[in-house]
Amino acid sequence: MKTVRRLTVLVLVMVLVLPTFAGVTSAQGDGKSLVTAYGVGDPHSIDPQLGIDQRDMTLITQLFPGLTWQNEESRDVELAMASSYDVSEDGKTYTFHLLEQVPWVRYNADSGEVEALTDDSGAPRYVTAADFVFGWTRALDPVTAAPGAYMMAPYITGAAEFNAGEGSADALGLKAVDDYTFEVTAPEAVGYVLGIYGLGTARPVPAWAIEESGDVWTEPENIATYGPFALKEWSHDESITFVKNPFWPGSEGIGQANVDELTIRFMDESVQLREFEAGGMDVIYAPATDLDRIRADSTLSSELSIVPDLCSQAWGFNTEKPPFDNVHIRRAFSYAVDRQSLIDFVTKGGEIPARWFTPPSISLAPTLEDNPDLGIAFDPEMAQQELALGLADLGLESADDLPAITVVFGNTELLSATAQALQVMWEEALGIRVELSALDTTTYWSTLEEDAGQIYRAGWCPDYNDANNYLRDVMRSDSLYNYGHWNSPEFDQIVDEARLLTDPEQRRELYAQAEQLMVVDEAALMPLYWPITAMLTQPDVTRTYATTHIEAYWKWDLNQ
Amino acid sequence: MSEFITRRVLWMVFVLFVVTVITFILMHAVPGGPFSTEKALPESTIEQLNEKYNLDDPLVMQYVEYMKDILIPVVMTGQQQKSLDHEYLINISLPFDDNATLRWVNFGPSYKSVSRPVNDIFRENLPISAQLGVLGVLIAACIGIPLGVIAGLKRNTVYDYAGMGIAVLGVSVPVIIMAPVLQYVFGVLLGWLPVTGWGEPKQMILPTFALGFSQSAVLARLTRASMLQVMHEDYIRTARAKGLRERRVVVVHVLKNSMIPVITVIGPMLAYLMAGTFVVETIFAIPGMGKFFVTSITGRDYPVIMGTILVMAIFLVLANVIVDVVYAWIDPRIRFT
Repeated sequence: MKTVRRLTVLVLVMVLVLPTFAGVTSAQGDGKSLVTAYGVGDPHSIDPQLGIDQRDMTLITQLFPGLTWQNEESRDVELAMASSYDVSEDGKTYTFHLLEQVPWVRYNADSGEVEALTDDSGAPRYVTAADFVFGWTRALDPVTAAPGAYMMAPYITGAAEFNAGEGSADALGLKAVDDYTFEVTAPEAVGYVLGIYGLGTARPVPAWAIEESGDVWTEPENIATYGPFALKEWSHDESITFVKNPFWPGSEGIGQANVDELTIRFMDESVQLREFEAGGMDVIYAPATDLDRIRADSTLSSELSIVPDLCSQAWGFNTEKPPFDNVHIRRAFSYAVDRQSLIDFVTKGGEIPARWFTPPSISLAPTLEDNPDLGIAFDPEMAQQELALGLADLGLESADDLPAITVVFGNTELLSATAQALQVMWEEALGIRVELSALDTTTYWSTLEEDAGQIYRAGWCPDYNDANNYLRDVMRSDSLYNYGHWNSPEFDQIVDEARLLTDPEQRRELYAQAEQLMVVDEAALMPLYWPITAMLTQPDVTRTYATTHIEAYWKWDLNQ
Repeated sequence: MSEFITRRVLWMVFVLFVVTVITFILMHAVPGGPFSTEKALPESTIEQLNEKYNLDDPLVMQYVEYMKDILIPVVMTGQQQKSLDHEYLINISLPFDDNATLRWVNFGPSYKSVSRPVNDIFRENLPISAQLGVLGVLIAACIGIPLGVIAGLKRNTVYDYAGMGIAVLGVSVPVIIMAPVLQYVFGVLLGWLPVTGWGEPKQMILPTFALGFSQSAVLARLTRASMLQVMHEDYIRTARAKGLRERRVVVVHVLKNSMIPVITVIGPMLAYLMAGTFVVETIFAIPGMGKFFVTSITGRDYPVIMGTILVMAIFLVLANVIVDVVYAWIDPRIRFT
């Protein structure tokens, strides 16, 4: 009896444990293969119309190039799926001539090859203007609930109404003139519209594949793509593997892939770093917390590259909540922030102190060279003066009579440290002790719209490369993202005018005016710094460094 | 025995029901929803998404729908379009029709990874967590129990102090410190073992050891205390008085009886570790289920929250039933009542 029992236990243990050792060794191809990492957790979607963040857009771009591509380094708009384009005289209609005979492809796991797909009759399926019309209509269709639809809608006739559920798809300014000619009509002539037409949401998708596989059409066995890479494998939450698509002809903006295989792993940044040090990764994002150590290490420091970022870190004032309904109090708080110290002691990445909101690397934003005196900077004396003016306005004796002030932010390591630094700076410069309120991040975002704190955190990363995206899209009085409810008819007028001008120099000048008005005269936002991206790259890898967070993996190469 | 099992199963169903209700109410009570993101979506888009996932229905309806998809089997006939709505864990072909299948248990879609059903998490990530958990507990037992036994037998000797020293180290150095250190030493500096991943035996050594070592400390201390207590029992004196050899006294009488509290702890320990360990899985980039307990809640991914909590609850309840059965096997005085 006892032996039987023992045997049972032994067998049970074997059954539980043995399968764990039957691991599969990953096959290494003969070709060039790279391993990189991007973010933690599963991407939201690689369906162009359902992607949300820059990581989704990076993956989507490798598979479904847009009409245009914003060069990841120069930030110029280049042609990708479009081989050329014409603009109508009124500047509202763009006619794109597409690359011809670019096939829809899929990776065949059995043969290990990327295969061009054919329809039921055996005829090859090419990416056509009709696929563009389908994809763009799908993006704007309210039923799709595409997160990026609102960015496209103002630049396509009839799109705003259709997206709001009022118009019809037939009334959209989209037309497939023939197989390889795609025509888009906009309600207004806007200079930066070529960038908009290249957005991640504005991509063609295969109607037949979506019809066949529904919401799981983006899985490797169902998907159809056409870009420089094809999808080989998607281990959700773990990694995505791309293989080179030999059928992609390459174009000005998006060339053929240099490597045969590319794996993007999703893991914690400090874990990426250890894997990189062990030689298991070719390119990673360097965690900010380890920058000091990386700089001190002779090997790692030579592999480190720091590139400017197109994002902006700013904190906002709720102009409807006292005492920040008073402009002098707002200015006092903004003058009292020592941006350089914040960078030296808190963020430590060598970020650039921000004098205004839009980073200078954004197209038509003011630059530091041309505008040395524009914007706001640390100035404790001005802070004192403004505080005195503000108190006089409010009829108060001293700063102690001000209402209690609470700073609200989503609870991350970086933001908590930033908030604590600001708390100290205000206490030193103004003698005002603010309260900090760190909320769970999702809770913070959900309360921001209805009820932003007296001081709230308001960063921004651009959807497209134009100052309009920072100023008008974020801070116009009716913007969804103007959480502080700042209302300045003068500002609205400047950004409305700048949007439709054709002369870049005139636009640049207006945006500088708008910045001055927003961060100094009215002090609606408190710019802090323009972030950087720190990356580590193994010496045998050649690559470009995306300032847009949308990586051009097809340009990466391995020197053998 | 059968009455015991029936009663336990009924009790289990009730516990799980209560767990689902409480989880459902709590997760909807927390402010923010699955679509509250840093870059706010327009109101109309959020309304569309809510409609798509039936989040605009009354909560009671949502709960009923959710439980219905899990509990009620459906029979599907004809050609089925691929869709997350038809994603079931159990698919049995029915004999009377080629295309008819009986489908059961649909945990719904994940809101955060849109082409992925929660069932996928159970198919792909849960087995990995389970492997890690089982191996971790085995290592914990292999280290912890012998240490505890030796310390208990040789009380107040150098063995005792050494064993308990190791145990204190295990308890006081949390896995969040030990795992990166192990990773750095064996993966980066020495290059003996892979830093991350799961699947090959080599990749399993560091994570299972990190997990097992910290848990072994708990078992070692418990075993020692329990040994000391049992050794003073009357029946041990009787056993010695009967003239049994010391070895037999220790192995058969002391050891077996002192395992009762240890088993009590190992059951739930196994349940917790099998459902996923956030820290170890994150540090070794193991695609297990552990991180979903955290990310689903911060991201308000309702179906993933419900699914993972439910699995954890099932594991815990089952572990407790098994522990009860094992008690009776070890100690004949305990009856199924």
